[in-house]
Amino acid sequence: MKKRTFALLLAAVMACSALAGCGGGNAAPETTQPSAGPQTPDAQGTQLAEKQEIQLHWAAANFYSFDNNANYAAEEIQVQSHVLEGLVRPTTDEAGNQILAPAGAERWDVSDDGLTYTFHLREYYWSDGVQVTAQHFVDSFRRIGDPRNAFDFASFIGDIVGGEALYTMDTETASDADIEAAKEALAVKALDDTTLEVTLANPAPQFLSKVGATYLYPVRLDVIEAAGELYDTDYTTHVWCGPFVVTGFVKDNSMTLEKNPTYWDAENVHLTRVTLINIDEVSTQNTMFKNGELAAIVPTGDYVQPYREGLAGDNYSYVHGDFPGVSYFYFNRGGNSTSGLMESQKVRLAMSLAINREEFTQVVFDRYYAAYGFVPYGVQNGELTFRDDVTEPLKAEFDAYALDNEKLRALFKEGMEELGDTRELSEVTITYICTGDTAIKRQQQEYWKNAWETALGITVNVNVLGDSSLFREERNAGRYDIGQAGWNGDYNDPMAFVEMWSSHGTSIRYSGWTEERAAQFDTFIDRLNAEPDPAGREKIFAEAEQWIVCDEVAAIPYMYSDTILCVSNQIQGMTFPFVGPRFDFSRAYVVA
Amino acid sequence: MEQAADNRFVIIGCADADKEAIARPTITYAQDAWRRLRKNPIAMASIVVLVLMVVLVIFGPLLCGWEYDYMQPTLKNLPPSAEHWFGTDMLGRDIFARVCVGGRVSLLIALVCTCVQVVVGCAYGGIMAYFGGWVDNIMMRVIEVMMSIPYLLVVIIVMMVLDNSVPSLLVALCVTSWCNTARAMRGVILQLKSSEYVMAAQSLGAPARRVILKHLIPNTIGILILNTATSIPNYIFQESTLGFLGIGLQPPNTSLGVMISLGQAAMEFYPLQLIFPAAALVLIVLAFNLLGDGLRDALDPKLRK
Amino acid sequence: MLKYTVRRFFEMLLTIFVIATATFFLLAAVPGDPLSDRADRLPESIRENLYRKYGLDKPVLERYVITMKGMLHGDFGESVRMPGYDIQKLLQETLAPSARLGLQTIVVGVGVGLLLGILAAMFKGTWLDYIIVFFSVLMISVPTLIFGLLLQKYVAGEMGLFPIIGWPSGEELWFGGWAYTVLPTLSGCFSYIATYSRLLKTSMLDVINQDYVLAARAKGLSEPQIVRRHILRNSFIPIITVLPMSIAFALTGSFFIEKIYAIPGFGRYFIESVQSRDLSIILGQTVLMSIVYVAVVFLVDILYTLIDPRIRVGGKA
Repeated sequence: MKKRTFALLLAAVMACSALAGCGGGNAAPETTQPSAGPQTPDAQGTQLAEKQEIQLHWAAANFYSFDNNANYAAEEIQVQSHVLEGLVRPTTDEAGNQILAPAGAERWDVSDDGLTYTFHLREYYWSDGVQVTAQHFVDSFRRIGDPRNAFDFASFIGDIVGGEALYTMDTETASDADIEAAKEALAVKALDDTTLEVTLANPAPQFLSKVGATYLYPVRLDVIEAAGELYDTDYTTHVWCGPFVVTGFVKDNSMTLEKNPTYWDAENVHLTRVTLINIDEVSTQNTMFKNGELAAIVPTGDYVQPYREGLAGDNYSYVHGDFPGVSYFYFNRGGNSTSGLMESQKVRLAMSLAINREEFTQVVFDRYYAAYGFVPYGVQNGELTFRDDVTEPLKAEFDAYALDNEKLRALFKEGMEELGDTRELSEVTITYICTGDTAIKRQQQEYWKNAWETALGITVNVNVLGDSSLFREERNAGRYDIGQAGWNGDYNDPMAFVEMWSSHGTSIRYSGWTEERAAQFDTFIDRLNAEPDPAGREKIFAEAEQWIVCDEVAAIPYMYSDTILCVSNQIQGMTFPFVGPRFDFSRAYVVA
Repeated sequence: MEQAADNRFVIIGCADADKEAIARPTITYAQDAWRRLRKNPIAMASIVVLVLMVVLVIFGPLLCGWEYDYMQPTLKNLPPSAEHWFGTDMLGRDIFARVCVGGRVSLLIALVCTCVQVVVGCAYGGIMAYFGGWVDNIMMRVIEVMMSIPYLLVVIIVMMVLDNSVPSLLVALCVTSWCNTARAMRGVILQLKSSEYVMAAQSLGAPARRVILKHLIPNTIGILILNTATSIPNYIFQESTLGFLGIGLQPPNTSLGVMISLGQAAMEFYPLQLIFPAAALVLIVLAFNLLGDGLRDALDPKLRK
Repeated sequence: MLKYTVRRFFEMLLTIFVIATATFFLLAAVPGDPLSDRADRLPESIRENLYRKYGLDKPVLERYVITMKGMLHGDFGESVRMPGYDIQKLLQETLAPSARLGLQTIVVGVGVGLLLGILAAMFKGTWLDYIIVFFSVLMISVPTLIFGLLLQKYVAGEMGLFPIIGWPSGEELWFGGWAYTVLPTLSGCFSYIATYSRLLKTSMLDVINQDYVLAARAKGLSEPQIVRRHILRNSFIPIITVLPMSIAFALTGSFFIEKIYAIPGFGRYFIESVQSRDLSIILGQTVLMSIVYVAVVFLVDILYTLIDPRIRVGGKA
């Protein structure tokens, strides 16, 4: 028997690709936008400190490989985005808006049908003196799609003609020659040393945002071959083309970056040395930030409030911006849910309407935003910011029920009766599976249990699994009703949040998110693929979102992520891209 | 015939007959140990502290009138007051009640584990020593294997295979801990088996039951008591270590280890949430350790004055 | 003696084989695999290729045979979580900081512990004895994590006496950079102080009551001479038999101390590799630990015979 569960990463999938800063409108009242984009020190008339060196906390255990095609963790992107230069660089402009700045590509042309992208590379060099050519990008695109490598982000070439055919090949049955042929057939061509042409299968406006991701930055096949098995782990076998070069690496501990003197924009890079170091204990990070030994800190949990209210001193600026992440519950739709009730849309809706999202974010986190939709704040569709234009679909329903226990229980009961279940509410037990290794997760579990039990009069059985692998096993075996997940967008487009429900998406593998349901959802994707115009896409996205959270209640979204950072006042010019590296310090500097 | 003058012997009565008797009351080993323990002020203080703690973890939640898992979201992170003696935590739960319940769980885990350890250890060690030969050899190898697998590895794996409930925590903590007890027991029993007084008893025709009851058990009880006294704080510590690693108990269960790991996350701005459970843990562990130290001195006949 | 050593060696091999097998199947019994975290968000085709790449698509028994064959050649396999690393490379890069921390901790902890033990034994029953007992027990009653964090926050953070985090590297790997090592050493040494002071105290009190001490006293030896020549020498026997074990375990690192002070040591892998089900690293560690354990037990046996003429190796108990 095949049991399926859908849903995604519990711990936030730190798989952000690239694209601009934390601009865009926002519903939360106390939001302060992050500082505007890179400004040259001279323009402000500030005095540079003699020592241009900073130190940052960095979860080193999540840095697995120096191979940018193989990367998948945020910590890897944090490094790669500073030591390599791709076609475009996600950053913020002086007003704080997210943009894709020309980087390796000086400029690019898009054909009128939106299918052909031609990138014109600037003259820039690897650290061993070799020029970065269009062929290095071709090699990178082909390499990431090679099914024998099984790279996590192989699907990033899926928009390109021949891309999906390449990365979905079965290595068991396909011969090496077949795979090589498929790689040749990938529609990425080096017209000459500085001209790269990419042909897409359908007009996919999100493609440009994908090439801003470090996975698609250039690679050198000769270097990879020379390094052999050391390519993943030994930085001395690598060459670089970004603003910094790696000069030191201690496994699971620290990384040293130094300025790359041959970088094409070296005159705007001021820091001479950046140390990324792993500091496990939050209180240690805090002590170091207070002593001026860390340039910035990401406060979490109980540390947010004191930092926001200035209890931790006044030598820092507090940055609060959007983050493309949504947290939600999903249901066991495999027909084998523990309670047997998850097939009823009314039951699912009642559970969705029974939780007080505002109170939850306030009480448990004291940050983040209550979510009544599935696409978070700040996510852009071309020039349009989706959440600014589209009201959250669940809001109206929620206000109609207004947390009235009687009405909610009636709705739940109605759903039960439709399924022919005549039990009393008090006899119903819902199994909620989750992991719980941190204080904050434990608090959440207790909050949800309490909330559903109070509102619906049912019993909630919290099954806390020891770690995420155990959790997946339990989920894949279908021993649950409802599970908790988080999804972070890999690129800056609403597509990153709706695609997961399609038959191309990742939800298909889990719970009862069957082929038929996915196929039903595919109609939205097909319409989107045929629609290059942002305004038109926005409408389709809005319909798709309505379907996910209201019509079908595929998920209960409850919270959008945000980003909170504190930056020492000594450091200026640091930016915080929306989906790229958490800190972009390539143009930062230390003031005297 | 001359009658011998019988004045060489005088009847002196039998008043002095009990001169050879032991004037002081005979005291058993246990009485002697208790007498010496009583003279040790640190050990006595530990006993008092322990009794107080036990009373507190049993009746504490009743005293303060709060449920340990009752959340008041609006009253979070409060400092101590007349209402909440130790203040409230990040979910607005009463810390005093939580410390009491957490202490109860920690103590309970330690006690149960110690019992299992002693029982299994004694049985295993006794069998090894009694049968000897190849049985002993194989059973020793088993112990060797168990002891050379890193302890934490075993514990984590057991917790993963089972779940995060109290019973599986007990299994995880006990699974290798009896090895040392078994080895110690084996050593003592082997030594006793070949000692002169056991041989004497056996040659005098004492049945096996009498040898075991009168000689083996009293002579091993000291080691067992010591084992118990040092194991309890160890278990409390191990449980808190698992709590730090996030593989211990899960909510709504709580224990001192879980509370400390939660409190440690908040220590910069709400240090009391760390200090109260940590102080309770330190007090209990300290008292058991000091009592164990006192017991060691008291039970060791060689240290008699 | 030779026969004994040879027998021990073969027993060790057997033990290690049993341990490796037990570890393998214990891990196989744990639900989940090292890739499930990563693979969860991947499209189906990439996911299947990924499992194939690491051989995780094969049945358990086949994987067991492959693993054991590799182990025979000293190859535990590449880590799944850390591409490009196997246990040897990991040890090479991370063991030195752990070993230095361990050695320093042992030297300070055992040194101070023994000193306190002697004092406590010589002044038995006085306030000095009680103070020593109380404080050494107090120190082990505070969890290392809390003690380390408090030291770090106040001594390094507020007072600024020592660096908050860090560990000497490069040329200073073994000597130099002492300021970095003070707090980690201090955080770790208390358990040794408590253990060794109690051990030596008990052992000394034991020896003091022996007949040969009485004889020495009767001969009219001065008290310092008795303590030095007779009591101390004999009461060190139990210490020497315990010490190798302490050293062996200290060298492989301390999880919490390395975590608090950001020391690039080996300690963290004991827990992380289990949690990520990284079989090759776990097997490597387990086998390493059992070799160390068996070797130390053997060493202790030898040491015994050297120190204490009453014991002979190989005799029947």
